[in-house]
Amino acid sequence: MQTSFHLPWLIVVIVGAPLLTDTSALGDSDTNDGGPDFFEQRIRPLLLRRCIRCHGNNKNSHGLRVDSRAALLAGGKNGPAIVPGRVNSSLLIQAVRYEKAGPQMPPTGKLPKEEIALLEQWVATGAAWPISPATPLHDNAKNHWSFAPLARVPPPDDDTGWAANSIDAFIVENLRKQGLKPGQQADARTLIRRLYFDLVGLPPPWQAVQSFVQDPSAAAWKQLVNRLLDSAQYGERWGRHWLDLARYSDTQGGSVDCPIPQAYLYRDYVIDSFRKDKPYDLFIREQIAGDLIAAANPEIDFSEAIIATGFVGLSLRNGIFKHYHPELIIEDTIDTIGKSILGLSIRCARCHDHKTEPISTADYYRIYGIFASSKYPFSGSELPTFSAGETVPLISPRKWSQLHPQQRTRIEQLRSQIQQQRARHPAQEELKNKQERLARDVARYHQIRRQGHTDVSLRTSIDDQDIRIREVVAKLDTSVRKLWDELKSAEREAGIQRAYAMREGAPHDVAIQIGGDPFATGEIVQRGVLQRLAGARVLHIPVGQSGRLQFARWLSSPDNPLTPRVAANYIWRFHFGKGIVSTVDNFGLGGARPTHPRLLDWLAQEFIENGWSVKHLHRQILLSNTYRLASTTDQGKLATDPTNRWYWRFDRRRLDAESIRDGILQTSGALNLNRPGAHPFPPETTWKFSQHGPFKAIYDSPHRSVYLMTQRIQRHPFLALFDGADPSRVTSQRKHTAVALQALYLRNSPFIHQQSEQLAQRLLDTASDPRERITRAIQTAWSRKPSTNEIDEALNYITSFAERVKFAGNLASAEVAPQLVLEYQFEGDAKDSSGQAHHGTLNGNPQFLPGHTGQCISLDGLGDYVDSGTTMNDLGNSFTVECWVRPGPEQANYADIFGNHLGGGRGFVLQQQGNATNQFRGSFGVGRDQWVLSNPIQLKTAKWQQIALVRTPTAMRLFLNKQLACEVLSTETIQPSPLTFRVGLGISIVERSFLGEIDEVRVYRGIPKRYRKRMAPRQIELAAWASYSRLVFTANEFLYVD
Amino acid sequence: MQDKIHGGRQTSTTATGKLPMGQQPHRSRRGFMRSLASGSAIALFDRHLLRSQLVMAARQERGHPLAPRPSHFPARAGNLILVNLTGGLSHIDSFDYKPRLQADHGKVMDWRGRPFYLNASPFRFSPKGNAGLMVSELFPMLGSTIDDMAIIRSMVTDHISHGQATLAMHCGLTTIPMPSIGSWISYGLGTHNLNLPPFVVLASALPYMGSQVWDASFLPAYHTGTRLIPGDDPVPHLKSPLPSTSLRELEQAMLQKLNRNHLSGRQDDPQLIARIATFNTAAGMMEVAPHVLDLESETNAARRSYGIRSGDKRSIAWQLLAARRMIEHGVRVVEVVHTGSGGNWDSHGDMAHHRHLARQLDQPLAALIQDLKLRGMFDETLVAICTEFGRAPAGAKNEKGRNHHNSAFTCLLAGGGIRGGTLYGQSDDYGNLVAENPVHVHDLHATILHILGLDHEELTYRYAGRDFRLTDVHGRVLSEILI
Repeated sequence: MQTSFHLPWLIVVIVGAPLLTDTSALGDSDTNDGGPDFFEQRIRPLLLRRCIRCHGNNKNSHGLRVDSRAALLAGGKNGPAIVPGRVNSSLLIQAVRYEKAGPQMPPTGKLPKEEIALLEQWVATGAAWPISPATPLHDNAKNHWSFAPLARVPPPDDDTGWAANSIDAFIVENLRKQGLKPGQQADARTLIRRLYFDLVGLPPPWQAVQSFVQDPSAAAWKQLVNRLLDSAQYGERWGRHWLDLARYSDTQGGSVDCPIPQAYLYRDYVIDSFRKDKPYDLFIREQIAGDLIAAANPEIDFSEAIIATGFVGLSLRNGIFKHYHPELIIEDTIDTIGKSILGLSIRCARCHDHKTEPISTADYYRIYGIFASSKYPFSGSELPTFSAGETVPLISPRKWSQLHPQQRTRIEQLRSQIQQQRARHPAQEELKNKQERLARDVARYHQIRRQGHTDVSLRTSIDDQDIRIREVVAKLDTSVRKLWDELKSAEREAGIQRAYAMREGAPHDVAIQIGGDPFATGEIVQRGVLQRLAGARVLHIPVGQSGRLQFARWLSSPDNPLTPRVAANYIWRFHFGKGIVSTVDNFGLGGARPTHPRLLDWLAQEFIENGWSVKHLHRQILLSNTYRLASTTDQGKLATDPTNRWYWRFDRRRLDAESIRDGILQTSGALNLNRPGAHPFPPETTWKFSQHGPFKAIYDSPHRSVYLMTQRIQRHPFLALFDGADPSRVTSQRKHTAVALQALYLRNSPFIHQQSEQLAQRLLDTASDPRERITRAIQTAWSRKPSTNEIDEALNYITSFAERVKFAGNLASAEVAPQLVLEYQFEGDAKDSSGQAHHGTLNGNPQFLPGHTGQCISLDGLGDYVDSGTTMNDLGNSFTVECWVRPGPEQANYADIFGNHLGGGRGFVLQQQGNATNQFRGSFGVGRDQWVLSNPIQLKTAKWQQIALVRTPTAMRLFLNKQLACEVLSTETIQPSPLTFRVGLGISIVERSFLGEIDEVRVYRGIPKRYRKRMAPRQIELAAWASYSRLVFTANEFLYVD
Repeated sequence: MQDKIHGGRQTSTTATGKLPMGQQPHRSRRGFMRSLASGSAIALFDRHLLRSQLVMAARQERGHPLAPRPSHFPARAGNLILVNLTGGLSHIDSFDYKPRLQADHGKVMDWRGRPFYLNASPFRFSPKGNAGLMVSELFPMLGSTIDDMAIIRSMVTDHISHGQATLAMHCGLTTIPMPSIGSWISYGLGTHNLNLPPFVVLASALPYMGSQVWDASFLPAYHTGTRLIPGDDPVPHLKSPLPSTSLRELEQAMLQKLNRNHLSGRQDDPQLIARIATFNTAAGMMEVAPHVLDLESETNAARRSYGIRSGDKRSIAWQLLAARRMIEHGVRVVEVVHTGSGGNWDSHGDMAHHRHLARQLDQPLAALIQDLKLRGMFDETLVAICTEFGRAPAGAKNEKGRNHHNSAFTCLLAGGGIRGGTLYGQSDDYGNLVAENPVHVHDLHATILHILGLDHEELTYRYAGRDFRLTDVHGRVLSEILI
């Protein structure tokens, strides 16, 4: 058996949905009476879910379809499927009951009892099928709210006097219907913080907070709204929202994920469009067909219009070849347009008529043809391909004519040379042959399919041939690479930039791809739009054009019932955190219904009437009282409306990824508000990316997060961690998760620590009074004044943090001068040169060899060691042992370098960690079989290194080559050991003796200067203020907006 | 207990002089965690403790998104270790012996309308286990555990490119990135241990399609696989830059204090409470994870059985032992990626490349199975050894390497619920096409979910207006390989 080649992932739209139990969203009418509601809510979903896959219009097993009452009455090969009113005689019921005699359906397994009962009930009560008995399933779309034309909706009268504008009137009317009242207005501080994060994605400067708190009048609010809408940061914040929908990425996707060096131009276009309040309809048209608009209107900004089509150009790429699986690239285009502009999941219709929406496969391929008639850009892939010729030069005809003639000639020459050289290449013949063979095989395959058969081997061969053809194309592309490089540099010299943008291709209508298989084609459909959607018209596409312009006009027409509603809903969603239609990217029959349908229509109408001005809608929303509600809760209202569906309060929200990062950078003073331009990608000529070594990079940046380089195959770690957009798909709704990895990041990441130190430094530099510093920190980060109590607590915290840092650092002020109590230089013997006469006894058979300084002692690991004859118990809790050591390649488990420890938790030792070769850790016993252990440090084999174990009253530290390697804090007292101090062993078990050389052993009472960790008071202060700054960034008060 | 099993030298935790676990701050929560985490010798005891800890945590953190959820029906195993052989393990050179291929070496076969030359396996096969199943010399030790495994020799997948096939093996579909199988399981069952992520991926290098293969996609983000990069610092940002525990604790305490102040007056808000909880979990991870990943605390015998050398913190052997430890400490799904998108099983040039890869994997995989059995964890852990596709039996004349092959390949399952020593499905005489009982990737997924107590048709998530499943609209549970 072979793999089946239909693409199985879109076959059925609804699987196992809990539709049967979820009636809450559908109204409260009794749905079990067998009436129309019963059908719509119980039976239609059941048929869709369980039966239509095999008994619908793309497959009708045994001649049976279940998508209309007429079809069921007519039945299939086995006769009528239902006899209304007669349950036991209905074949459908017999089949689902799995009765022995007849068919047993569905074949995958018997339905749950309840579902069978529903079908029985439906048949028993006459098998009602609302609308008309011959209506197919989809025609309930006719009455679907979002497909109905927009009508003018007058705002209701507000007799409560609460409403500040029309939006409020709609809101309060609905609240009243629910028996609710709007809550309190938020205070000035909350409002300004809310507004700043909402409109510019940054915390408000303290002066702005202060002046608004002093004058929170309606006029001041309005002024504030206008000022922020006019700011450059507004474009960055709201442009980012659109980039989410446009699945913006700086790389192509697919398994190679090549960079798109020009993608940033589109990003900046989007930001600028929002900043300039470009009419939304024009914004849409430019993104679909900017090149065509520019061609027809010499007066508009040529580059801008071309760059805009990056929206389409940035469609997700696949595999390792140029334009591989074009049907999937176009699918991504259609899906993106569907979800971001129309609020429809059109993609499903690629393989079959949409199961819930009035979108046929023919509709899908009508749109498909438009994009198949256009050329997509390309930036590179695994094969030695490259982007030149696949991107669009940004030069208007007028500018072109103004170029220096020499430059023009040079560029023209190169272009024609490229064409000629490519045309003359011997591989052209090969390409032609391969294409002809493929065409023959596709025709043959089509023939076989039409007769109802298939040929898996042939189908596989077709895929194979497709790849071989792509390889030849890559060969041809490569053959002119040098010329392209020359052309590009000639263009650069002439000041011509290129964009990752769309162009016109060869206009043609396409055939329906049966089951989504591009090589199994059916009827050819004329390019156009969604014909069954209300308001849809046939497109008049002039000969020689792709139809993008006409399609763009249809999308952005004021008659299109979806586009303005969907846009208004998105805008509402970004302000309130939830849409009036909660399924923001799905306004179809499968989507949710609006909570405030009339408000949504009013907003959409208002939008269109005010020149599709996004800022106009912002003003309407922001000046409403609804937006200015407090987020405080009310138990009574919570009981009536737990999800705040009716807006009796404002919903508290976590900051999104960008706002967290930008807010921290702004607070610390590190944020660079300039626009950074292109990403520092490696030059294209050096690219050797492949599926085995895809492009991967993270570029650090002090700029706003919207300017971070984002990739498809590897998501940016910070943005991904805090639920940023997924650049591989339309992100219509960001998540707001709370996971432990975020907490780890907020507590431990270098970014947070750097920024907190920066803020601390700033606080220390700008205010000498600690109370003033706390005040400033809270004002900048949390936009409010701290209470006296808060300042006290913060200062207490900072003091005790500093104390502990000092404690950990163990400033030597209280310490006695170090005293040398043992020194073995191992110059041919183990004499103690400290003057304390702790001369060593040699055990085993150690040798004296040239060492680190003069001679050293060489130990065989089989029992060689030096016994000092003294316990060293009088060292107390402040001492140092240092030595030079050259470890052998392998040690016994738990081999010791020196020590005097014994079981029961006594003495100290420098010991290998188990069998981890030459990883040593310090430890000391505190009695009751308990030990304080340092982390292990790795010593190099056969190299001289100096190691020191330093015990202070508060810590134990290991120094490697005079650098602090690890530290463990402990104030516990060492338990004395009866064992004598040894070198080359630290216990009574000789199997644990050390292998290698040791030299210059010294034991001090106290701590020599070189091992005293001193932190300047300034450093301690900085560390403590940095810790407080970190808390300011990571506290919920920073991360959430009321 | 461990001593008895492994009989190693100097492994007793109570032997005189050997340093025990340090300060034993058993009074604190930290100490409690540490004692939970470090005692690998008391695995079963641990699991009971963990469970009660979890029940407590679930009670405290009501509605925790990762709180354990009941399975659809009694599970045969509670955990999954997924070993992902990237690049395409050759079925006909490992577990799918084809005598006719050996005999017909050099003969021409018509395939996809073009002539191809059959190429025999360069490896010797010998009978293994009670049933005498033929296994190649690549896997001598894994071969000897064959009686514990079910071998599926009739795998098929939808695509012949690495990226797409890898995506399919993890997410079901070849083209659109969907939630990973690990994310689905995490979503379906929750976690055993709130101090560790529910789904962990050990990957030294990124596999094909990068992090998309463990992405939660449209599932809630806390089901995303947490990638650990074997080496010195496997969990991102686990180590605090603060030099001492007491400073860390002071800072954590102050943060919680600030958050409690903030919460007063905002009492109803579960999202604020959840955020506070994440900082507790993170503090738990900072304590627990280093110990879970400290393989030095394993006995020498255990480390030796996997083939972990001293100082090794990266090898596949280290990863597989770490996988066992994580499962032991309550991680639900561990995926081990061998080896990434480069230097892997994609032996186009020469099948001899399979040799050194197999050498890396053979001993530790066999050891993992033995280890799970010795610890009584075999019955509650499913080990799935998978690859995105197989390798072609035919190519150019006397070609040393093999091309991708998606129309027949082999995957192995062992552990909970699996009928050991089962052979399922057949490829044809050359290992070219499936001859009998094809198993699509969807079927494999349905079976894995089934073993974990999840019905692949019931495990759905509503996104973009429809209910999605790991198995799309397909999938059949291979009841034939189950006990």
